[in-house]
Amino acid sequence: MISIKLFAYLAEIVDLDEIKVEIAETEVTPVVIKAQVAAAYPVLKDYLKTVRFAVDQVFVEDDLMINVQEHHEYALIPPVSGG
Amino acid sequence: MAIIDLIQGPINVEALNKQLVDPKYGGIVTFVGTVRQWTDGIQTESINYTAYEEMALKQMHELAQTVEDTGSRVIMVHRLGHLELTDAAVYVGVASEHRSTAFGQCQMLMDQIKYKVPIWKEEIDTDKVRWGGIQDDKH
Repeated sequence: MISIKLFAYLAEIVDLDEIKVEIAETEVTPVVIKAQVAAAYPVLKDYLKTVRFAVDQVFVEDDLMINVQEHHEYALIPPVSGG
Repeated sequence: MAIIDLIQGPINVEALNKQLVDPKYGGIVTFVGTVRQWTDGIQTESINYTAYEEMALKQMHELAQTVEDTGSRVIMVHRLGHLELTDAAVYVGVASEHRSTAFGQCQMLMDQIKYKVPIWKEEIDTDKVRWGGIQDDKH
């Protein structure tokens, strides 16, 4: 089980600023994590295509292998719109 | 050392401008992004800004460092919370030896803020509320 921070409209849609999803494997990519999020929260599925993944406050590529047994901070980052 | 901040209150543009003045610099370029009323026929009343603050500050510091490594001085401040029309949402200032460097670096920093710094706007428009970054009308 990992916790993932949500922001902006993602947080608004599920009315949560953090969600937990079950990850069976030790090492997974953001693609797999997003698929798990979509399965657990189908209402988010359409939005995940344009969402980037961050680990420990750094953007990571969708094919990066992440060891989820280690302690990390995860976040789904919708397209930003500051400025 | 760059000045990087996320603040809840008004941005004091004049005070920030003064912090870029230094005898070693010959060019100061600043950008102030403000809340605009009209966008393609959509009328905005106000904007709420939120952020993933820890990551936003980290990204802003990294961006500033790349510019300060060239000898320039950088200030980047973004306001969060509720902003009304004409309020300053973001300030980017660069002081450099020469103007061309300052122009280029200021524009680059602002472009990068809009690409990689996790800050989001929620526009309160006259017809509905719209989140920045999504094109559909679901929200």
